[in-house]
Amino acid sequence: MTQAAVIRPHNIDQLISQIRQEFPLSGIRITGRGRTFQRQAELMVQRIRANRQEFLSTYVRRPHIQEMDRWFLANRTATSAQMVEEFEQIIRRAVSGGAAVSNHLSNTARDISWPVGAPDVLNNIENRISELGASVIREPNAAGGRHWHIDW
Amino acid sequence: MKKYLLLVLLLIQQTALASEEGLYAWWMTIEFPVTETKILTQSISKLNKNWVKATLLSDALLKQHTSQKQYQEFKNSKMQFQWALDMNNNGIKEQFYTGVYKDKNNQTGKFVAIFESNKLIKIFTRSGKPGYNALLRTKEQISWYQCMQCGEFEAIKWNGKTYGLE
Repeated sequence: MTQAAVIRPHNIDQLISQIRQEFPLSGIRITGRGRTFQRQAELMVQRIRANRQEFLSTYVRRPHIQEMDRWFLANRTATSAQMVEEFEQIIRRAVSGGAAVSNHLSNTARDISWPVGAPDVLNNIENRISELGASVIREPNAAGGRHWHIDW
Repeated sequence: MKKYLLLVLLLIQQTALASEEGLYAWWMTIEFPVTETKILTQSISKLNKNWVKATLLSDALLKQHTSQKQYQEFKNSKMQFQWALDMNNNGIKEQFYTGVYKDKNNQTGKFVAIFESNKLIKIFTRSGKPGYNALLRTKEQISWYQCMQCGEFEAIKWNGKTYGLE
C-alpha cells in the first residue's frame, strides 16, 4: 500500500484514526484511555477533593498515600491542576521507589485492540505508528485482554 | 483445524465490530440507565447518603444495551459484573457487585460494592459517566476494570483489616 506522507497528527486519537484509515482491515479500535501517571493522579485528586476520609479509606495505606494526604492538608487552596501535578510527581517517586502503583507509563496514551493481520502486517502498523511519532508496547498477555498500548 | 477456524471467526468478528462502532470500542461509550432506588433490598441511601439512584450491572442489562456481537465479546472475555470470593478469609464469601449511580446533584459515576451476608461492608466509587465497569479475577486479586482489552484498572486488596484500592 502507498503510505501517506509523515505529518505528525495533532493528538493521539487523530493518530489512531489515521492508522485505522491506512489499515482498514486491521479492525483497530480504541479500547482504553491508557493507564498513565497523569490519569491516576487525576483520579486520586478527584477522590480526595470530593471526600478526604473516603480517599483515605479507598486506598491501601502506603507512604505515597500519606504523602498525598499531607500535601492536600497543607495546600487546601491549590487548584485541581496544581494538585494533579503534585500527585503525579508523588506517584512517579513512589513507582521509582518500588511502590505497587504499577503499569503506569507516560502522560498521553491509549490502548487499542490487537490488530487483525499476519505478523508482517502488524509490523507495518507498528512501524507506521512509530513514524507518526508514537510508540507501541504489545501486551499479548494482559489480564484484561490482549491489546497494544500506544504512547504518544 | 477447529482452533484455526475459531481464530478466523474471532478475527472476522473484530473487524466487523470495529467498522460497526467507529474509533471507540463500545465499552468506551456505552452508558447505562440509573433507575433503581433499592439495591439488594437496601435503599440507595444506605450505600451512600448522597445517592438517589443506582443500577447494578448484569449480563441481562448489558444484553439489552448492546448488539449480539458486542454482548458476545463481553462473554468471551474473562470479565464479569459480579464475583463471589472469600477475600478476607473469614470463611464467608463476599459478593462483589459493579454498578452505576446518580447523586442528589445529578452527578453520575460507577461503583463496586462489597457485600457479606447481604450486608454492605465496602464501596468504591469513581465519578464520571455511568458506563462500563467490570471485575476480573486473577490468582492474586480482583481488579476493577473500566474497559476491556486495556490496562485501565485498580486492584481491590484486603490488608487484613479492610479493603483498599491499589
